[in-house]
Amino acid sequence: MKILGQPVVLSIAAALLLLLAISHPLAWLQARDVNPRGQRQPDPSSRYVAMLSGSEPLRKALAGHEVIGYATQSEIDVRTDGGGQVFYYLAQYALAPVLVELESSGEAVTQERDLVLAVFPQAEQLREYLAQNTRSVVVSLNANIALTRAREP
Amino acid sequence: MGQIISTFFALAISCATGWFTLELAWPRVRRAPGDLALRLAASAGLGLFASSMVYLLCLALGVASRPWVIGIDIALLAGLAAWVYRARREPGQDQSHGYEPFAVIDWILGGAVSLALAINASAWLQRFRDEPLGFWDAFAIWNVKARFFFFDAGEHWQRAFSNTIAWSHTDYPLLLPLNVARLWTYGGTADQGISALLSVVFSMLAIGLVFGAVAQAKGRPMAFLASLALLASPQFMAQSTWQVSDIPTGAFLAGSFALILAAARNTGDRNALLVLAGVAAGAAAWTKNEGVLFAVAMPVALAVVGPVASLRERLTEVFEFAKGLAPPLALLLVIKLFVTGESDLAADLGFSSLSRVFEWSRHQMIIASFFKLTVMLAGLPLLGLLLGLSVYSRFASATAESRWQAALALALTLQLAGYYFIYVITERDLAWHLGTSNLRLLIQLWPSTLLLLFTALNRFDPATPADR
Repeated sequence: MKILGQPVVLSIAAALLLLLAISHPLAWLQARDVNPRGQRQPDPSSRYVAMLSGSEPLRKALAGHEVIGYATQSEIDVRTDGGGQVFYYLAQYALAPVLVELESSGEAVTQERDLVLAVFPQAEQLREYLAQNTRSVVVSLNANIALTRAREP
Repeated sequence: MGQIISTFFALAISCATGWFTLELAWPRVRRAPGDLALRLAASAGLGLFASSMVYLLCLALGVASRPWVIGIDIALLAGLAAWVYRARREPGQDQSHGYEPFAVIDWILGGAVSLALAINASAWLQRFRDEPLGFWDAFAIWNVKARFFFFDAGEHWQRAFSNTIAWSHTDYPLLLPLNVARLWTYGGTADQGISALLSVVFSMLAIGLVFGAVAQAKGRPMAFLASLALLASPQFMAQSTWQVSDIPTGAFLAGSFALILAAARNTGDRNALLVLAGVAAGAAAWTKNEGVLFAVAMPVALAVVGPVASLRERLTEVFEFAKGLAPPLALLLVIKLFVTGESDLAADLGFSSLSRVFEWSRHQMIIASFFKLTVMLAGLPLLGLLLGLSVYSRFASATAESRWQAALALALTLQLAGYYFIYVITERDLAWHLGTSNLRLLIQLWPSTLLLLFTALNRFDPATPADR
């Protein structure tokens, strides 16, 4: 049996493949998580990158610096850790061509740079970091993220 | 709006550069169905490869600003166009005749592919809106390099390879970040949408290459089925906006396969196509380290598959392939030796790593992961349908092209075996390593696998004289 000069199996195969080719994206679109207003929740990674790369005071403060430090609340394995690691990667992405060096683990600051980007989950942790390491805020990005510099003795 | 126009202008220049380069080598004896699709897709791939080289040259010379990059791109394009024009005027150079017209079934199947593309494009757009930065590796490895190139093109672009950020795999090849930075340079801003668009362009290239190669070998209806099969692969489509190098690598591997099959069909002008296939393999190596493995696997496969009596002929073919492969591979070597950082994966490995081949549990884990992720990549319904098609249509009986297809199958197997071996000896936690990379490695091979499958099956309809 033929359809348009081709074996019917061609038409069946094409129909099934088309069904599969459209069912996956349609199912995904349907299952997509939307909020009541019909808008997807804002992507936190993009907001974080936009906050860092879009800050004019931060850009000015970083001008002329090749490397800055990066401090956060917990130890990060830059290869396999899935928690704080992503914010470090995103910070480097947002601030390139300035190099962002991971230099603190917990409370032990190993090799401080002149400028250190401090990224903490809570404002209290940022305040503790500033106090313990005698640093001051150069640019505040929000309550728990700031570019810091060592205070003059 | 101006940014969109600039991006398409940059892509058009890349495609035109690839087209004119291909024109110099493409056989002009006869045009088969699928010829145009194959040439367009191969041109775009070749053009993006060339554009990355030009942009790297601009960076190295300290002239990667917008006017310089556009000027050099246009000068190269004009030079190539003039070369092609002169070559075309030489007598006996253009013996081609027109393309086969579309039959009704071609229009219907073409409509089905267009519908599937349109719906997938809608999902791509939503995926991009949800996650504009793409997959984790996109911002941690690939686009972060592009930002170093774009934001400090004049002086400090080499910071992208600093040991301070060795975690970003500073030794990885540069085709994707160079192209992203080039498109950003044309548009004047580091727009994430441009990176996502390029990601989708590579998926379209893979579809075009599979279509073209299958159409040449088995006619358009079979080629439309192959394209639909790729469009029906859920993970391949989902990762089209991930902005990572796996689908681009897969497109170049498929390009090399397609050009080798085109060479197999063109006995009169085979060498030029083999050189181009070598260039495509080199472009794969210039895109991701797995391409270097392919650059070894493909020549080995071409050399060993066939009767002993034709060994000399096969070695000549390997030599032609190597002519195209050598320049990009040499450049990659220079870049790896003198510019980029150290390979952390390779640095971790030692002689003691080889002892892991005796750990049976690792083999079990890897085999299970390969099977599970193949099912995830394609989906059980598609795998079942492909199996059904293979049983119904059966593999074509031995022809002059069979030897080449067997070589491609061996190259694919060697590539897969290489991935397997790396997992066996890796110093990283195996579950973590498989979980973070195995699916993407399989995606690299998926377009070539479908290309090989559909070119090996019997066609549904009798071949027209133009197809033979």
